[in-house]
Amino acid sequence: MIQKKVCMLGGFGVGKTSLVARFVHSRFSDQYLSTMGVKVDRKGVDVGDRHVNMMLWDIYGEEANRKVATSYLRGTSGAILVADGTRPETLETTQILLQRLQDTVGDIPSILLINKHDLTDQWAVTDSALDALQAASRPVYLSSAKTGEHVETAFHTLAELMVPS
Amino acid sequence: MPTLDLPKHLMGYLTDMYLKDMKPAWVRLDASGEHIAEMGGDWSVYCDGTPSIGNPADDLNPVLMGLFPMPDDFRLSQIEGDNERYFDIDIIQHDGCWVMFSDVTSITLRLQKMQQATNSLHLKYSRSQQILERHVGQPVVDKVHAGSYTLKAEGIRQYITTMFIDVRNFTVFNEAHDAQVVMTTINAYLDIILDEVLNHQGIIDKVTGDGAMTVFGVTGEHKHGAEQSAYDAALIMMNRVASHNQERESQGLEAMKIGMGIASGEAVTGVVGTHKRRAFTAFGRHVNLAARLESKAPGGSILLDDPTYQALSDRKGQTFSTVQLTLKGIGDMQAWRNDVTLS
Repeated sequence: MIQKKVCMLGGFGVGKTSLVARFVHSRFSDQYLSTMGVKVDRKGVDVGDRHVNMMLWDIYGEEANRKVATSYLRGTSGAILVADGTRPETLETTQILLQRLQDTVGDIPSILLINKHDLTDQWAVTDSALDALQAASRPVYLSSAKTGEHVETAFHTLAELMVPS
Repeated sequence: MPTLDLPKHLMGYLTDMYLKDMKPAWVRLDASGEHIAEMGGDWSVYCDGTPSIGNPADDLNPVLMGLFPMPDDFRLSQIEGDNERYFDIDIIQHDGCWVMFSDVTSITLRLQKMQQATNSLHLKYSRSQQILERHVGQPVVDKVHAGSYTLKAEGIRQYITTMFIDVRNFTVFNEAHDAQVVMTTINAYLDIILDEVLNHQGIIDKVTGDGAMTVFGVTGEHKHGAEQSAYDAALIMMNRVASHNQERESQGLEAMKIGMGIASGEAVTGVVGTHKRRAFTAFGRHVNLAARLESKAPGGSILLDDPTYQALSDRKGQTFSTVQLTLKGIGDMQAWRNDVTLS
């Protein structure tokens, strides 16, 4: 069995914990509970004939006065960057975190989730901004921890990137 | 090693007060820096049973996986355990590698309450700002926050441009379709209309069901004048609505054109209503004129009053003709009509 550490990275309140809860436990809660430090969950996925045990590090959200410490990033094999589609400014936070990740562990597989896609009325990411993000080399998904949209797909895609066949 | 200059009993007092609740537990690693050589403290909080000498150090907790041997001092703080407790892990280099666990549940839960309150407040603020932006546009919100623009109850007298927009034949459409279809359809048109108003630094005074009253120049954000901004917005709206209509027609759906009236002049802008429910609006003779012009504009056309027409620095290659109108409550007047040539 292959073990891989995966960091969930993004601003606060973008839905990192909800995405993990949806993927690992198939559940969702509307109640917002701020993550302190880190919570580690595990889930196995099959990539071809190999089983990958993903250790999901759900790390507290980055804020102006509380940066994500690089100690949490050490030993990471992959990252899920999460932004909130109703708050476009959280996309900038993912870029800052991606840079910090690369400075700490080098260029590792990562994907970008623009979450809360179920909130269509509040959605604020323009098509042109999305086109620009999709032009970059990393996969981008519009996701919803509430409906499950693209959640399984995203985690599986990252597993495939971390363990290429 | 420096020590605190404290009598033993005071050190003991502080230890009881601060360290006892942290239930520190520790291991010292062997020369390889990967296996447990020695241990102590209260491990009940951190793992089932007591760690065994000789076992790999990363068995102590999953978060340590792959970290050993560790050449430097290292800290992982506020790790949430399965037992709803939080702990710190410190790796300290001192004649070998030491790993110390300490329970920080109490302080973390206190901090979480503060963090939760701060984050929730920020999210509410962000949502409120988003709602405000949708009504008056980001430049106005920025000015209000910077204190350079205030919505005064007594109003501000200023020169502005007012544009009324109306979706033609909507009443007929409304009569012929289910309310849900009507709602979805009008929102698609209003999306285009209101989007371009905000893109051109206009303010949406009110949405009238099948149209809108909008004003330009309230915040002085118009490089080529409020008249030009309103006109530019109107032309883009016409083109976008035409594309939208093409798409609807290709799906066998009814297409609806828009008509617009634009007038400029002095107005008083401010808030009306009570303390509980207030709304921004503009009063002035030209405001009524813009409404009357819109009522006379055929679908696909814009009617402008003379001050607006004369103030345009760029007519974008469009053709204008003069028209004589008799407007309710205003009388006879000459206006400029532009049957928009789509680009």
